[in-house]
Amino acid sequence: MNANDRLLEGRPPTPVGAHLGLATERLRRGLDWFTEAERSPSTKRLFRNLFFAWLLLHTLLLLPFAREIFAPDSLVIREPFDASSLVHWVFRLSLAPGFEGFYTVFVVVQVGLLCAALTGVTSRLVTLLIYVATLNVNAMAPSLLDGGNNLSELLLLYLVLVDTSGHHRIARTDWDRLRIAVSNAGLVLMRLQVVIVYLTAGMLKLNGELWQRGMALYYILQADAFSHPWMNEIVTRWPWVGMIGTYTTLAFQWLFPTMVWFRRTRPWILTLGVMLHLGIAFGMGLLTFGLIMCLVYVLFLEERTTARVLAWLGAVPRLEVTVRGDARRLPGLVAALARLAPADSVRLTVTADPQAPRLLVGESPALRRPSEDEPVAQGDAVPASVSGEHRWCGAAALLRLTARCRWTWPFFPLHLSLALVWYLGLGGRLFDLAFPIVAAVEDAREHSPAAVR
Amino acid sequence: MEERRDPKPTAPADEPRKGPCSLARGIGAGVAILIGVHVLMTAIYLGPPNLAKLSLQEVVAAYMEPFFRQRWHLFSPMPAFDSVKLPVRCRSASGEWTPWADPLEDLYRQHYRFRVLGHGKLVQFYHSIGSDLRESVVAAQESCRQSRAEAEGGEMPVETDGESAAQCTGRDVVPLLVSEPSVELAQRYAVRACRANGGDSVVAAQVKLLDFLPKPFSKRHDESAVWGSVMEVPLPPIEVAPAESSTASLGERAAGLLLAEAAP
Repeated sequence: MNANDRLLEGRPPTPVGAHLGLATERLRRGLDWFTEAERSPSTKRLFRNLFFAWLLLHTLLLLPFAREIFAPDSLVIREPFDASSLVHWVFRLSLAPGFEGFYTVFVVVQVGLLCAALTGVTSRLVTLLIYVATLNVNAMAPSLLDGGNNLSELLLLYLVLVDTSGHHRIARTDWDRLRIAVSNAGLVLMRLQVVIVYLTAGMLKLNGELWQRGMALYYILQADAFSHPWMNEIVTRWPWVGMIGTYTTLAFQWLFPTMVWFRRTRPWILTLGVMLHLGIAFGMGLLTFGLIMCLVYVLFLEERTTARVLAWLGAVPRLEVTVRGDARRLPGLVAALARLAPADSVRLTVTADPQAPRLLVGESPALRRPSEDEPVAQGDAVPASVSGEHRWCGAAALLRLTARCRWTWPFFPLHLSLALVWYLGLGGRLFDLAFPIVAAVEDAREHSPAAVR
Repeated sequence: MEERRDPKPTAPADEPRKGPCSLARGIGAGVAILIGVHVLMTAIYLGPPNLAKLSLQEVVAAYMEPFFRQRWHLFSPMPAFDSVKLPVRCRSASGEWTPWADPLEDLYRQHYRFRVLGHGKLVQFYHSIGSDLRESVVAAQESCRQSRAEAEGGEMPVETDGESAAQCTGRDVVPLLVSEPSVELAQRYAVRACRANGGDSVVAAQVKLLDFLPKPFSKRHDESAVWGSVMEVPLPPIEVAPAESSTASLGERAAGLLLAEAAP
């Protein structure tokens, strides 16, 4: 009979039995935590998106210097390629003899995969491919790699385990339980990894004399590679700034591993961490390192917070698109754009109504976030298939539809040019020229200022 | 008095089973154990040398090194606070050397101006050439001091105020470094900078290591010196082969600077 049974019977448990029972119960709950349901799905999804955005930013920042950094004759000492190692054939392929000249391919593949993942093509396989591509790109420029890159490689590996779809899954079968447990384990490993970083760095710093004496920041900010003339000036003129910064860093790295696990202390330690790492990013010039350290704090945010952020980011109203079938080229173009838009975000109707505008786009209020102070554009003669608070016709409608297609975002300058053309009032004229009506009298209302917003 | 023990209450057969079954708990336990093992391995890997680390070193390294490598020094225990420069000079066919100039001066200026662009990473990239060279020089100095002490039959001299460093200066150890990859890299860097500067007319290039240590905190207001100390280690000049290509954009950046310096 254990302590719980005794409690059920109304008899007081022995102290040892009570503690043992409690411990067993907590252990059970802990084990069930892994297997019962997908934990923090929104957090996982938000982190994935931000993390991939960081990886993309990291590579894009290097693109102007790609020749200098990644080329076979660049000024860097690379790890020798081991042809007998399978690990090298997969994760260091960029260093293999004969492959060195194709450094652009590895960079393009990584950027392509990240763009695909950021536009919704996500799965564990995609994450794994991103991991492989990232390790190959990193292997080409080992002298570039700092703590942020090291952390990103580890987090990417753990992220392969995680289900980042954002769905709240409940385990129904043992297979579900295994999948969910692996996914939750990935989240736990990522969190633990962040704690390990601070714990290790904090312990190592305590052995440093300059850190003990509060002088570390003064000296670090004298090095031109990790400083800015202004920072140098500040710590020289006001030495206490350097001292406070040094001890704050030490205190933060020591307190983080404990304080981040408690709900009450978490916001304080995360806020301090963001301030510290933004200082590192802009003050010391370690931009990518500072940013990824801020970004990993998302892993510790509460589910309701990340769910709210995701809802805010993803609150996209559906576009109701009506196109006239007799407008030359227009139906085909609109159908192609609708296919490129995210699923269910565009509803396309082709009409034969000669009174209808050639292209009309309306936002569905059903998917729109409620907002009381938003203006409502009124239009008359709107076809029955199109409803909503906002409507656009002609060139403005085409611009609206193009902006909805995520795959066209790399052509941002094109969007900008279209917007400028529309803003200058040339949109209607160009639209008329490009998409004339084949054999019908055009509706004059299309050009009505009230209908075009 | 001994209590009478009732048999354990059992759930009725038709009552739905609450909570996960034992297999599910097994899955949870398995995952928890794997996480525990991983964290333990990481702790041993990152921990100081102790009995556990010494006895499990090979296993832990084999597990951690390929994919779970962890480098979390992050400016500790001793932060890097020296400024390393690699000035370059070039010799034209006429035999004249250009003045020493730092090809990265413009890059540093851009890095200070545009903090959100990729210049910081490029600074890191070129900074590592200098810091690798400095590490090689310092290691060679240590070994030089050791061999001199052994030759004199005495113990290693205690380093006080650069006394021992004076016995094995950077210039003394340069001949020992000829085959070092960091030296070869620094010389390639010099050749590129000169190539972009003078094109085919450059016949030789030379680079030197300048390692600036900041003024000690107690002398921070001392206007008589900009730096605490400076180590200068010129590497031997290297001939620039005519066939070598000049494609480095680093050199392109250096070109204007070096030409301006070289102009009378």
